[in-house]
Amino acid sequence: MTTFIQLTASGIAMGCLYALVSLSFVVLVKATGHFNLLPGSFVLLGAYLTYQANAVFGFNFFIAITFAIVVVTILGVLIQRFIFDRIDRRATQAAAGLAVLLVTIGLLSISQAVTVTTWGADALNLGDPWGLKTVRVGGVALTQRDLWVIAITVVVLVIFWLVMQRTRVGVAMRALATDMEAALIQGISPRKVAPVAWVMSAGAAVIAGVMLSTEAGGGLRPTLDVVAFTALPALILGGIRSLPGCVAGGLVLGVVQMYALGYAPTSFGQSFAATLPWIILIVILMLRPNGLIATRDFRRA
Amino acid sequence: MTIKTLHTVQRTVPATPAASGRQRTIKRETALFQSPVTRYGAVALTFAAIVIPLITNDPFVLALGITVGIFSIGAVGLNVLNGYSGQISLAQPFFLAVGAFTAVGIGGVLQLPLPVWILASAVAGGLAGFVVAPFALRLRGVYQIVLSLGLIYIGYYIFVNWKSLTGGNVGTRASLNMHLGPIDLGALSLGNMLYSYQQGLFMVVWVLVAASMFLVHRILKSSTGRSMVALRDSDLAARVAGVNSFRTLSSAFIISSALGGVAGALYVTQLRYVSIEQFNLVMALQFVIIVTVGGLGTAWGPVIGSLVICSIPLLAGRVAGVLPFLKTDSAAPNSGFGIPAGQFSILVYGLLLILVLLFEPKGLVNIFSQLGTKIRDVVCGNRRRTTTTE
Repeated sequence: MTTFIQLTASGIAMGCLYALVSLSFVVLVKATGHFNLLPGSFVLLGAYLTYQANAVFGFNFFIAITFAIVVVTILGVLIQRFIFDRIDRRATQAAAGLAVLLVTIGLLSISQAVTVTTWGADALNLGDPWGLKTVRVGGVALTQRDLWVIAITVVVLVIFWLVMQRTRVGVAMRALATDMEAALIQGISPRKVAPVAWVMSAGAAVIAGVMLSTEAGGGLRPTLDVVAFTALPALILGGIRSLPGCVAGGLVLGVVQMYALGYAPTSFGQSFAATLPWIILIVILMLRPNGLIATRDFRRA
Repeated sequence: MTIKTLHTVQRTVPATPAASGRQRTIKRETALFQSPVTRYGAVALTFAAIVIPLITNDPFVLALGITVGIFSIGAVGLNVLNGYSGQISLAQPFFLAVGAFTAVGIGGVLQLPLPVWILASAVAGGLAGFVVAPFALRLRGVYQIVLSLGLIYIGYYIFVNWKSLTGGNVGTRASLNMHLGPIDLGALSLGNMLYSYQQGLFMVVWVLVAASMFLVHRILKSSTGRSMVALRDSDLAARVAGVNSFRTLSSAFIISSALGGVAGALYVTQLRYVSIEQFNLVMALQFVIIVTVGGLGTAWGPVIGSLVICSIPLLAGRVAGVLPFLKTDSAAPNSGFGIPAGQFSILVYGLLLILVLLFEPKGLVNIFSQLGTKIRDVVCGNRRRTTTTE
């Protein structure tokens, strides 16, 4: 029973990280209209910038995270201004989608090269305040890190929900995502909405990156962006345009993956738990090509 | 010419200028080689494949040539899917893995001769593509991309656990049988000249590059190939015109993955060692970068792309000691600022990809062809100013 509770807790923590990374993807899809892999770079750069601000500049850990979010947001806005907009002006919708995706693959390579060049290829210690401490709750040992992950994710989700539901910018963003033309006629400016979307996307990705690099046995490493891609099944399960869908998809996958890690017999072979989300994804895509929570048809991306 | 005269001409002469012109266009479209560039290019490629390894035994040139060749074959395949058919796949490493481990089994364990394991890898890759195609074709856009990423992870799971054949994540050594009939291409001898394994392999690889380019070229001339391009350019229009979308795109998948399988088989031969760890996301991105930078939907794009992309890391490793901003070792972070040679190539890939997409979406091959046109104009005194073919 204690194992079960421990696995559930770590599963939820893992699911929270999946949820954060896929939120970062979804917000960008909504804001730019194109699926892209930039959140991978954000996760990587965010974690390293936090390290830089915390361990090198000596800022408080949470101020360091804020610093990273600000820098990543600025990068994002610049990328949109100088690359995405340029492609959008020139190409048709379908061609622009592919071009934006490929450009972000290029940016991913660059961010990886820059990271290794600046901070080295070895795993670093982020200097997080919780370390590897555990909390005992009635005979069950939970890592402080898992509790922090869950708490911070809940805070982020509440902020996201408030922004989307209760602010003018949030309403404008939803309007743009629902019906671009109608929103434009109502005088909503995508240019004013976009920076908020970049802040949200960067925030979710940077926090996820920081949390991912405090994993026991993980550490801050230049392959974090690849780790971020393991959140893609959650994104698809959630139906790519739905924020609550992503959170649900992330939590389900996180918990299932942890149970697989804990209970799957060794005869299932190496890295079964890591592959399970992809298998679930393919099965679900076959049954429901629009994801578990089907929003508007996005198959013709 | 007025309409009336056109009519009279049509009645009297069976082939009007317009009709014969149209026929000439069709003939030109379906001709074996459309232009002198492709004709002489094909001849030159085959010639170079045989002659280069005979005149040089510089290990650097041979190793680079073999790597470029192997990636070219895989990229020529991926280009059918991503370039001509307008689908998006990142899964080429999965098909390379299928081909590679088929080759390990048939050419390594069973020691059957070269043509057998090459064909077997192509068939195995094609079969894998045949199985995957119905899944992939149900999906579009983002879903298709994520599915193809998933294929790499699932392939990893399958092969890493099939330890008897693949050696798990440690990998396995495999010396494939290099006999082509009575000739051993692994230790070639002409008269009293002896050639090394690498020289023989270079020939095999580049003859297969030429063969796969020719194959794809022929397929594009066929009705299947034209259907692919039609579906890419306008899905709806093509289907209204009677193109069977599913069958056409399935064949695109099969061709692409079969060539991936062949590339995978050759990948084993270069180091005589293979591990599933090599067929990872990095390789997937590398293939996508190759076909895009070279030029999506062009005959020579994949080869040019491979040449550029595969040369960069090897050249960077060579000049790292000379150039001040490069360092050879990434494990020495305190030895002053410098880009590690391995990272430098990744940086250049990224920059190339972005620059190509922003300024030359048709790829590097277009820059070369424009250069070629300019040179021809200068040499021939601009007599024949034809528009460049797409």
